Amino acid sequence: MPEGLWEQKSAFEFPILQRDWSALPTPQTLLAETLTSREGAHLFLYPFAGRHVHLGLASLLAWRVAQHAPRTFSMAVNDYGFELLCADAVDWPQLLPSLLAAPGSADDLLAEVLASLNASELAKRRFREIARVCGLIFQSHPGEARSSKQLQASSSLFWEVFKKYDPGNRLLQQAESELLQQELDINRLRSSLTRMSNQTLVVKLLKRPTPFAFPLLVARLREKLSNEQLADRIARMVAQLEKAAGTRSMAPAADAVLDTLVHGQDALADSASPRPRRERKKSRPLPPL
Amino acid sequence: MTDHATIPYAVQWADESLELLPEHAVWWPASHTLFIADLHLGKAASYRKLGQPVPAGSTQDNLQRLTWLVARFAPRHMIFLGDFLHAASSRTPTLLEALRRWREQHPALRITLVRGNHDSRAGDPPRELDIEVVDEPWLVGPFAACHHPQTHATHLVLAGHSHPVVSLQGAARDRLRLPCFVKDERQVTLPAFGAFTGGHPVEMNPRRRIYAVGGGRVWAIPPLVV
Repeated sequence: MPEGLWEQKSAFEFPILQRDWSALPTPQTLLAETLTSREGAHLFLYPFAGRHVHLGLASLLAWRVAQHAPRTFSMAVNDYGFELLCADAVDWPQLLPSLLAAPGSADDLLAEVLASLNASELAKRRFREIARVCGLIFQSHPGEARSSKQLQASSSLFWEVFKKYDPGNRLLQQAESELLQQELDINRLRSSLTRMSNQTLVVKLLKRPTPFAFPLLVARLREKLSNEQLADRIARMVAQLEKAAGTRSMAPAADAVLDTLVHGQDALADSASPRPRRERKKSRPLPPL
Repeated sequence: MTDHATIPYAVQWADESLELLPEHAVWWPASHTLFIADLHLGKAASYRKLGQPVPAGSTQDNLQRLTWLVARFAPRHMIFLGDFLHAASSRTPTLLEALRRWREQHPALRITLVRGNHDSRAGDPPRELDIEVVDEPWLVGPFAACHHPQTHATHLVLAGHSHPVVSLQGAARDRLRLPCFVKDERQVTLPAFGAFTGGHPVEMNPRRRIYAVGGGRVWAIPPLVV
């Protein structure tokens, strides 16, 4: 794929790329894409149900997969779909049909959703807003003097202390109930799952990220769901750092990662031996949408 | 408290064998000494006094963990590297009573407190606790027990104050923020021991060694190689 792909092609050609590299979603089909990269195993799913429901769906699916074996998932959402990223391989083509089966009762779904809540950090993120509104944390504006230094604590610290010593706290409950009204609205989740189970599932194995997948792939604001032991997660990170230290290279620079993303698997082949860093031409601005 | 086995990390510094404990302390077997930094007892109480609804329980947690360490290692000496009490408003009757009762459980234990910035404001612990209060640097063996990170001409500094945490990243965009021990050439910084203490990110540099604490273990983080 030539350099500067995104700049050369116009927005009108993106659906053609999507169709050529994967498939175009239709009202009758539910498109799923899988990709393997240096980061791990990616699943992209496009229910077109809006970002709130997508966060709930992503959380639910990740939770269901994590029942087979302890997993850590990174999740990204937008209005078209969501991404689930795991360091270890997941047999998505095999698992998806059963994961997306028609939902049972609302009560069963609620039980699952509540269980998945504890494995994710959705409530912790919600709590940050709540802590700010009720004055537990202070966010001063530029130039404004910080209020009493005695009282600085982060929302994470409050979260931990509430969870540990006062788990029935109203503020924690508030975070949970807000989630259950929005991202984890049982009725909306149920109707989305029903609609999805009536669609034909189309699974595409990608060699490179598609126009639909790319925005999710590079999304910075991500959620996490994990039921792995903390020690296992740390062990994996330390092993990776040791490997990097052993091959005398730092974590790949943004250019190298972007290279891999745009050019796909081919760029990964030489990851062991250092390649001379190619000079990137200054990109032309994207055409107007 | 922790019934599963925790795994410390053995190091050799200043020609002494030390163990970095996942319980956020340093054990010096040759001297039967425990080093602990930044207990910040009564921090929750002082927040409550200033109107923040922080729940109770951290003091009990802190004292229970100290008891666990004493039971596990049978130290003869416990050295606190500063910030034993968080503030003057921490000196509540409940807290002082809990401390007194804790001290009664370990009467033979020699306890030394190296004054930190919070101790100067909170005042020394009550006399009846029988805690020897000293100023930094306080020399013990080849070590200089301090609160603030600093260097010493002849001794290896053991300090606290900065509540170091390290940000680790891994595959699949995994990120963890873990308390850590920091070993520089001439000083060692301990993670904060106290429950309800925040942390400050530690700068990685090639001459620094980081030992992260998490999942019941202490992990040596491979040094940054440029």
